[in-house]
Amino acid sequence: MAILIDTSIYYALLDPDDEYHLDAVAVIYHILKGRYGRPYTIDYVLVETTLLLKTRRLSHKISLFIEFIQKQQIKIICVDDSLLNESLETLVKNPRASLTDIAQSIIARKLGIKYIASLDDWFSRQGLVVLGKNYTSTLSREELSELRKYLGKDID
Amino acid sequence: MSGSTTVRISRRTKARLERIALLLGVSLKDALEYAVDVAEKHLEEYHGDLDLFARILGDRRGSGYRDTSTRVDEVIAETLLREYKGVKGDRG
Repeated sequence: MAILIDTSIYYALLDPDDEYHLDAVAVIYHILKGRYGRPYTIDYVLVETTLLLKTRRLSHKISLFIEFIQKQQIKIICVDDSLLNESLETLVKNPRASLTDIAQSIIARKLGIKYIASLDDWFSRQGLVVLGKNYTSTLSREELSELRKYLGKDID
Repeated sequence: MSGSTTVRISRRTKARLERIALLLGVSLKDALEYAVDVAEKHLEEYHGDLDLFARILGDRRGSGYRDTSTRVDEVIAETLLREYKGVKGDRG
């Protein structure tokens, strides 16, 4: 079992003001607990997340984000020529889709990954199980209690 | 998937595989399949660092925006357009 982590989840995790912050916290918590196996992320997602942090004047969180990726041993998959070409061909046929999302769905198919942590419903139409929106509701009372310690606030 | 194929391995690896086969009391072919099963399980095992997770959550400074995570493409596009027009973003 393995899971991909998308830009939307990293960003929502890092921005407490984001509407889906708690859902991102909850899904990352389960990933770190090993519920979905080893986590993977593609390089484009790192580009998008760091750019969003700069845009939203949260540059001070970039070093912690990079440390998080490295120390959590989240495997970074770099898009190579072959994958880029396949993604671009798909993008030409679906110009409204995102190149990053297309590359992630192709990688998921190639590596047999079923899960993606994301707030983007587009992935469910690609046959992936999307974990993100409303994920907090899947936590047990004990898990909510543990997360409350980290957050220092009520998350019921 | 049915059928079979040939895999070329070093003599040293073959000797290690023979030892595993002997210990398991199975054929060389079954020992190789066992090794692949173990490797797959190992690849799936994962436990992250919750202390580092706590550090991420400890920084409660937010952007003031609620919808960035669901508008990733649009926000990036707006940023690039702003940069193109010469409006400075957050350069740290």
